[in-house]
Amino acid sequence: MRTGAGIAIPLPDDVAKALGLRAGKKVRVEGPDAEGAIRVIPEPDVAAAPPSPAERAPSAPSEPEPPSPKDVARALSKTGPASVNDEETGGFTEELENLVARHGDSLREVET
Amino acid sequence: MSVFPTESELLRLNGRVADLLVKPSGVKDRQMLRAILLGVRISRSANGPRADVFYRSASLVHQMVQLEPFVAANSATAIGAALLYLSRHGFQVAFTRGQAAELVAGVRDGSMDPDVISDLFRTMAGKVPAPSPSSTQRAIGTRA
Repeated sequence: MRTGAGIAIPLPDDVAKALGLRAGKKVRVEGPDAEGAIRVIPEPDVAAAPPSPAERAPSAPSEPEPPSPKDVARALSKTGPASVNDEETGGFTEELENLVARHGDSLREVET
Repeated sequence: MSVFPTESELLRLNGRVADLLVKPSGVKDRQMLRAILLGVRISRSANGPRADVFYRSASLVHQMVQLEPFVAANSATAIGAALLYLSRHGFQVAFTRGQAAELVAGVRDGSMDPDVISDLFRTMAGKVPAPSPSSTQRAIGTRA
């Protein structure tokens, strides 16, 4: 899913459906940013019809509901394994041990 | 390198936590795990207050506890993943005794949503909670 900044790519049909966008919709994928977030920004349709007067009425644009994890899981299962930034990170073993040493009691108590 | 926990990191985290708890480890639904990671990372609210590190940590806990992508130790892995993500941003938060269990129980009974959990994380990190209509006076961890 990672692309160069600003490059628009057409979404695979199943992924587009899961994200609530039409098949073939071009999106720009940005990120990950400093917080590790990836943003999918739909490109405007080039040949979109001009809005009717009613559509031009001043109102706050409604943001479509994001897909549920179950919808995304279903789409992923149809499109095959997708990479979710799965590169190895150095020093993770040490990070993991520090986490367990510091928060082991809290981790234990949530499972009892 | 991303500061956001990756799929392979969460698998290793689950293995380590399951080992700590003497439980079986491994993924039960790999597609669900990927969906959770992707869903939490993708934000349509690019600059909104909900798109910050605390909200993403909270969403990670909320979805992993509810959707249980692993064979076992889902709640502990969820808490661990959030703590890992927060620590990579320099926020060393620590639960008081019973607080983590209360959080997980709240997610399961529906009283703790991502807004409430993110306010809890902000408070634990010494940050002022963002104004949120659904979170007023509901965050745990701030009780007398």
